[in-house]
Amino acid sequence: MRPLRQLRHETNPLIFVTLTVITAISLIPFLWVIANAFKDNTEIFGSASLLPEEWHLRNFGAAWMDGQFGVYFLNTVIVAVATTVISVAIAAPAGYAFAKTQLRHASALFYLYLFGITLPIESIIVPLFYQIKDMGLVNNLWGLILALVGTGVPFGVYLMRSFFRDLPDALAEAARIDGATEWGIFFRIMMPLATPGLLALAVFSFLSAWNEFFLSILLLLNNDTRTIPIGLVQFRQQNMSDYGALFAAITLAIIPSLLIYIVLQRQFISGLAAGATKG
Amino acid sequence: MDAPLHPPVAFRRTRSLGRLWQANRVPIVLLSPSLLFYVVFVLMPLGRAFQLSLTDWDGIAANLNYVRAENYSHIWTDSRFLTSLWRNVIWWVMHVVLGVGGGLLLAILISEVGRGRFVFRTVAFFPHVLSLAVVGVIWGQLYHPSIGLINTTLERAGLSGMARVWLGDPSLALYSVGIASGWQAYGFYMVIFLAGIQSIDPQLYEAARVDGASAWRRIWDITIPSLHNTMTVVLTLAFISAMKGFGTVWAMTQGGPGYASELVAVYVWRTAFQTGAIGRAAAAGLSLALIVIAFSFIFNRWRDKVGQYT
Amino acid sequence: MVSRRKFVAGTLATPLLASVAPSVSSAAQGDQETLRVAGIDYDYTPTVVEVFQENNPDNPMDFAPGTLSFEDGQIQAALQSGEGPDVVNVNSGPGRVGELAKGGLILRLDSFYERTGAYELYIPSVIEQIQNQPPEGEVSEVVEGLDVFQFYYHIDAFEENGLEPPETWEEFLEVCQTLQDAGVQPILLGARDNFQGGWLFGNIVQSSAGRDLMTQVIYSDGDFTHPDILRGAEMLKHLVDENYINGLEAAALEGEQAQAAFAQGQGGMTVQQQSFPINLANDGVDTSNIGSFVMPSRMEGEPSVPTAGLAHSWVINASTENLEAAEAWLEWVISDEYLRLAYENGGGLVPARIVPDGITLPPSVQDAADKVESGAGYNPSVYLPGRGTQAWYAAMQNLITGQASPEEAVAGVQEALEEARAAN
Repeated sequence: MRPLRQLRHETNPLIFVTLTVITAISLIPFLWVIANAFKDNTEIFGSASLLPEEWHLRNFGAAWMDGQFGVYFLNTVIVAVATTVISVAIAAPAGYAFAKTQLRHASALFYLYLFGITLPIESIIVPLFYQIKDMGLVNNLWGLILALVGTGVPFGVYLMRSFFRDLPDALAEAARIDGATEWGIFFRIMMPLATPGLLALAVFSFLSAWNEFFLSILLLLNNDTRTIPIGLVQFRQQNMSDYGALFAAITLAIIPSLLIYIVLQRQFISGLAAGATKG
Repeated sequence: MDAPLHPPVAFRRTRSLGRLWQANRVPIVLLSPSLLFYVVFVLMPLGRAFQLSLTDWDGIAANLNYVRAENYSHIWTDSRFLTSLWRNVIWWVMHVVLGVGGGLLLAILISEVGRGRFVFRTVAFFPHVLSLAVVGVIWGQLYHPSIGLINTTLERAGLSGMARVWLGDPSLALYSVGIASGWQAYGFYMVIFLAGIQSIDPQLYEAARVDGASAWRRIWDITIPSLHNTMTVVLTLAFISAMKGFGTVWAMTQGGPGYASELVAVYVWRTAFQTGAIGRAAAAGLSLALIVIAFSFIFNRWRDKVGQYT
Repeated sequence: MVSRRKFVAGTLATPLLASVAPSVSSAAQGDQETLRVAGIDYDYTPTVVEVFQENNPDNPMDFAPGTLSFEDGQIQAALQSGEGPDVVNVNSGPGRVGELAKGGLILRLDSFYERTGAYELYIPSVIEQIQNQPPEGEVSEVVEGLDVFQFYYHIDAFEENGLEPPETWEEFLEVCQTLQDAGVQPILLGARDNFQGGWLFGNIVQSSAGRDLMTQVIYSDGDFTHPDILRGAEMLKHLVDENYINGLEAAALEGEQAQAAFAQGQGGMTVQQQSFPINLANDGVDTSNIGSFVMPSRMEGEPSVPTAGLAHSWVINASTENLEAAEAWLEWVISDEYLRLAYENGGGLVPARIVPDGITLPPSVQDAADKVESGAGYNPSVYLPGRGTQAWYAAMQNLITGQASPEEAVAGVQEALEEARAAN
């Protein structure tokens, strides 16, 4: 964005105001939820002020005791990290195979993968559930992880192929002349060059696994296996009328996401941007 | 016995497989893990979905009872399913208008702003780091008829006539949920559009500035046309991710009141796991898949064609 | 096919499982020696679990609290997975336990009943019900208790307006009108999660159609579009049209939210189960201001009765390898001591058992038990078959939000019933 910035120094006030309004819309629900988490139920019902008149911590105690948010957080991290690592580990070689090796019938196979990108998960959710059940992996984080990796394969391979395709062949040729094996070329030369692509896929996989709901609600049945989205929805069902505790639970559910985003912001943004422009 | 003139078929197969392996050892090894996952978790379930869609299985019975195309003829004459398909269309349009449109607007405005763009970008992306289900829980509270931020704000502003039961009113429920879903999405598209804008040749802008073009002209004549390819990618992504509406709907209305906010995903879920009509749910899911795949194919063909002339 | 799938799963999962922290895999690995019991965590559950463990020091047991819902497919999944608990507490009813039994997912308990004399311990109508549901004549559950649904009202709101619990439908409408004129929302309802809406609608249908017709609908081929049931749908619509029920708001609120509003003194009446006053008392709400009455019958010469339903039942997983210990748990559940501990520790279900001398029920439970003694109607949410339940809930939500006419609403349920009957 640097080049643009050099062009202008003055910002149109109208633009500034519009932007402020939209970002406020992004932010206000968060602030409202967090503020309400510190109110007691009478104030939530009775008071008109956004900030609590009296700051209560009871809600957080109730949410923490009832909800096992620590466990949900840990499960979500396990699911998201494992899905990300495995997805990248299997999609990168496959993308390379399609982009840089001469495989017979490769294009037919690639179309098979492309087909999977547009296949909506609804169409396979029923048998997928029974299949994971037959594997004995219902109510087990690995059932969810493997299913997420599997359903994410088409997009991952497609994305990695786009990245590898744009890498110059000259380096590989030079290495081959120097006597490097095919494996050596892949691991030592191509993989490091494809780092932005790996990052992009990692971000896409991480976000979608972190936020997954459709499969999780079927597969994760116990409190010890629930992830944050499932745990929060379950908590809400069981604590419908304790509004304060629900707001506290939402706060506990969103804080880890926001922290991870703030810490990894640069990677998130550049990963998504790189992925989308290649996709 | 005469000696065979040709080697047995099986032998020939093995030899050619062996040759295939010899010639393609590297790509085969590189591909197999992903293929294994893809086959086990997508293609096999897809095959089984087709099989189940021809049965009246209830999720419990030990044997499959085949009923031919009965499930398909049922859903394609079932106004509940057809309406849920139509809601998916509305849902997608809302996703494009709020998510993609909002993201594009944000990206353009942010690229025009001199200072504070980092803050704007960071904050506008916040909603996207949340799960749609978490977003559903948050917006469920925002829409609460008596304590929700929306109705209390309207009342405080003296507009209590505009307060509604956002999730209980069947004419509003789908749109209320769609707005929540759009709120989660626009940050994502903003990032992608920003990347697209960043890759536009700065000389174009330089030339426009020399010509004394206004900011609006710059956006209209340079930024938007240059985003054609980005837009194709974004619309495809939007099409796929709009299909993921399940989380928000499930957390906010579970498809209700009645069936007023039921998307196909919710229809499939309720039909399979609440009423036990597994075969029918499979048929509904596959029907949706056919529509989606056909549509994305046509759409990409059309964009390619349009792209050639711009 | 199955074995190949298992093989693939095994090759994929084994190295992964081996590499992960024990907390991840522990949930799926059952210890064969320990009796695994899962179910709803009632107020008295910790006590009865503890006493069972003291009495059976050689049988280690593990109780996993949590509701496995039939409607979400969770209970079927748990039973089919082969990893499920040995004994589970599930929602009762022909559409639930009946389906599990038909599918062979749970064990028959006829011999258990014979051996322990349990047939004599339970209220005859309860035994009759669990034998009547398909597969007919068989018993595969031990009923934990009953739920009874009736109107609860704010006594002060009635007294201030000179009202008495109504004894006819016309009086009921007058009560609503008077409360509304006094600025009180006559009926509070939270129907988004369906249950409460089903209770209210069930009471109205019972009032309009009576028990005999509903028995035919549930157990044989009764017609849900019968004029008497249609009249029930019209009654619900009337209450919404007059704004005695705020239909849109009811569709946006969860049952528990409506209960909380009622507890704060809002509204005049609400349809709840007998445990409602107990829960309020536990939350520190003064329940002396809450009275109860039964929806007046519109059937000539029929008594007004509440609706009721088997609440939860214990069933044994067909794949258990711990049958002896599982039966020991059921023997504990049917014992006098278990019942006594339950009511000493906040139990709120109406007993399905004949209550032995020396056990006192909480007042609201006793009140409900007394009302059931003279007969009770069905809570259709429990008794309609699986597909019927969903259509029944949809009919209720569509009626209160004006999306369906009474005719359309009952026709929708009838269609689902016919489909369910055809499937059997």
